Amino acid sequence: MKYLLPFKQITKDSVDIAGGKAASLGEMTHAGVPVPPGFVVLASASDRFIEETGLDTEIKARIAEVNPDDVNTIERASNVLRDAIHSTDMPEDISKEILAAFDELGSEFVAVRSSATAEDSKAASWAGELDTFLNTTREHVLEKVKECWSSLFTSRAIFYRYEKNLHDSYVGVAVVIQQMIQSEISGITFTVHPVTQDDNQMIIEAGYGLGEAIVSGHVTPDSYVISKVDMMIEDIHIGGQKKKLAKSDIGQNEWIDIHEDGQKQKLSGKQIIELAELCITVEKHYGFPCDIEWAFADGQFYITQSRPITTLNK
Amino acid sequence: MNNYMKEKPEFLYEADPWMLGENIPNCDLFFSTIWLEGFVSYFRKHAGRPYKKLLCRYEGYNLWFYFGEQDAYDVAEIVAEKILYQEGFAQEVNKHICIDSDILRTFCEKIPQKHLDQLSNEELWYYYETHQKIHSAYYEWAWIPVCVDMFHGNLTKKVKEYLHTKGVSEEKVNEYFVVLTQPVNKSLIILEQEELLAIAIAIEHVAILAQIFKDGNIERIQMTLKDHSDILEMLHAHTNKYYYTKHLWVTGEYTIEDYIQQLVDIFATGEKPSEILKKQDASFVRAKEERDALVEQLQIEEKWKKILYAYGEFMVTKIYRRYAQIFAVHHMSAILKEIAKRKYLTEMQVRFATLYDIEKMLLHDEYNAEELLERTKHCVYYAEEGYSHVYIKEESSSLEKEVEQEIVDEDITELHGETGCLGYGKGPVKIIIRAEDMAKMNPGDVLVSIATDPDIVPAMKKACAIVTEQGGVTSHAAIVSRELGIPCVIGTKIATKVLKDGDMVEVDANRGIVKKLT
Repeated sequence: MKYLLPFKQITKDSVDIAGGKAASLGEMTHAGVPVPPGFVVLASASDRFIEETGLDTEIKARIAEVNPDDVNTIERASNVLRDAIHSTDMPEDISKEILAAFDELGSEFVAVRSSATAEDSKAASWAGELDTFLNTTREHVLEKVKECWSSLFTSRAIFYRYEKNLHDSYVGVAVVIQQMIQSEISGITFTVHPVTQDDNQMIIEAGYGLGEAIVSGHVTPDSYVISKVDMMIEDIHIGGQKKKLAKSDIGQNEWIDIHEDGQKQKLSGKQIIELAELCITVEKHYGFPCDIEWAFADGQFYITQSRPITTLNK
Repeated sequence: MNNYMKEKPEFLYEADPWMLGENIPNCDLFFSTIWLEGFVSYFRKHAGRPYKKLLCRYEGYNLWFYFGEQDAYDVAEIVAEKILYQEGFAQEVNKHICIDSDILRTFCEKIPQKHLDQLSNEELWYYYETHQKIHSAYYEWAWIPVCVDMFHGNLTKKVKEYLHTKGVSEEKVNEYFVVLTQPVNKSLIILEQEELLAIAIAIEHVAILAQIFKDGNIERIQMTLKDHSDILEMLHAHTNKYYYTKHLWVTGEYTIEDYIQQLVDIFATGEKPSEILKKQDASFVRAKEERDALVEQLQIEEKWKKILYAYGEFMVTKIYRRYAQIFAVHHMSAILKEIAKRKYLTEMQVRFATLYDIEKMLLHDEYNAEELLERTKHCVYYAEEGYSHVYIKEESSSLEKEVEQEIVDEDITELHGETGCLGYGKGPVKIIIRAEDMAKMNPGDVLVSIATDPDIVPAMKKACAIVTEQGGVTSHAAIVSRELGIPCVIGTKIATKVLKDGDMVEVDANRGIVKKLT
């Protein structure tokens, strides 16, 4: 297993090879936080792929042609580069390793997420927004890994590099492959209230279906304010969700109307406190306020992501 | 979930127009149903009959309760007759209000405020239920002085009729009425004020400290107080004694900083605290002299003298009971919070549960969190003897229409009410509903409120005149204004809707008129 590592073998010191997202998942796995099991395709796999297939020369040439003031040149470079990556086969030893690990995971569907490694903190912040693919099957997993790799060359990414003067800065893309949790309910927790910045308050947002819909702001979630001092719910606001994102019968994600159900409280009081306690464990482990993505399925909470809250003034 | 001795309400749609009793900000179902439910049942015990029905509308922590107009009048008539013709009844009322207040306070002193997690559900239920019982019984007497006057002024009207038979003219009747019902005992508000003045006098004796209080820099005062442990101790003792009086009706506690601020306000008047105290005492002596002289002059009969004096005493006992009640609700907050924690509910959800809900919740672990949440947004409570129910959603909205208020014409320039305290004042309006509004109050402003309560007394002390929407001659605003000698007009019904912060108004309290000047 030259190019893969299971979460158990990753810690926060693995950022250089596994990216921030994977490092955080590994770290939480060690801390006993329930994280959906999975492994990471290290950034070195993507680097080798690009070098070995000669794509590196192509990339340099195409990027050089870009005129950042002309959107058309950006789009053109992006299309050419992404097509080139998608149509080039992965080195066989890497693809074999990935498929073997996939089989070992024993999950019909996985989530495939980019986990960027960057020397530059500015680059790291946009690389955090690279692609994620949900409900991916064995048949499509290699393709989605390549799409993660190529997401370094979306128009937006190229534009950003020019804008921030980062074209010479190295960005690697590791890819997280993780058991797909078909979350009945999912959401985000801020372990410090992001608006009032009150250390004693935690805010949880929760909605039906997959969490991506909430992260992207496509649904209005419930919000719960929890007092961390006495572990009590201070406020409950029902979001009035109209539709949810969920896996369809053929394994794709689709929007489903949920009608009256959206007016219900998504998590019970008891679940809210259980989740709040879990999020406090995460915050304590890291030692700083966290922005946590979580999912609830088959009677269990999972933490799918955690990162420091960067918008606090204090 | 509720009280269902009857299967359905009997009087809900019986014709008798709903009449607004009170609008109370920051009040919940927990506290309000204690009295609301009592008004239609056990209130009969001493009053002679209960109210037939009542309805209370909640929008979050804001409530409006309604009686049937005729119903409220009939109850008041019966009680007024008792006060006037049943010898010793009014004195009995005052005596029992004090006894019941002491019982309530004594019980609530025992409610644990810490380590409530060590209580069993049964113990929590014991405190909840017992408090409810004691606090309910308290209203059997406590509501009597309120019900006779607050809605139709029945008792006041009868007393004024009597004064007319004594040859008092229409012009003089308000003034004479106020003089004759002047309380001669000090209420807890004035006693607290005196205790604060005693601290101010102690400060006055230390020249450096007095200067720092005059300068009014709170931080510097706190620093300096560290070197004056005697004064600091007095302040702590005062805080420990009265901190809860801010708890109307959901949250709030006064801190030592608040009392330092009140002392700064005293020094800011430029008057010596010892002089203020002397003046206050003198005004009590004068009030009694004036009263006695008028009794002499009008040759008031012995029987009526007793009634008028008891009427004055109603004001003092009202404050006494109010303090006990705030203390009770403050101490019950710890219990409500623990129930919320135990049942994974917000405190607000628990505050919108009825006694019956809490019993099931604590003893059988049965409760509907969603319904409680809905109530925290909007609900209507209806009660008659043997039936009470909390309505939500559509049912609540349709009942709300039953009590829909007329829209107030904001162009009105003159308001009419009753005389709370005689006098004349002129100044800019400040709308002060709860303690958090007090920061905007400057000396010489006209304080305008729905109905005042002990939490805003510090602002009342700065006012050149006080105007309220609700309440009769024994209301809190009337009592405090008389004790502080501030002109006051009560029961204008719409003052906070018509007046805005900064409006210049003229308050002619003798005639009960408030005029907008600009």
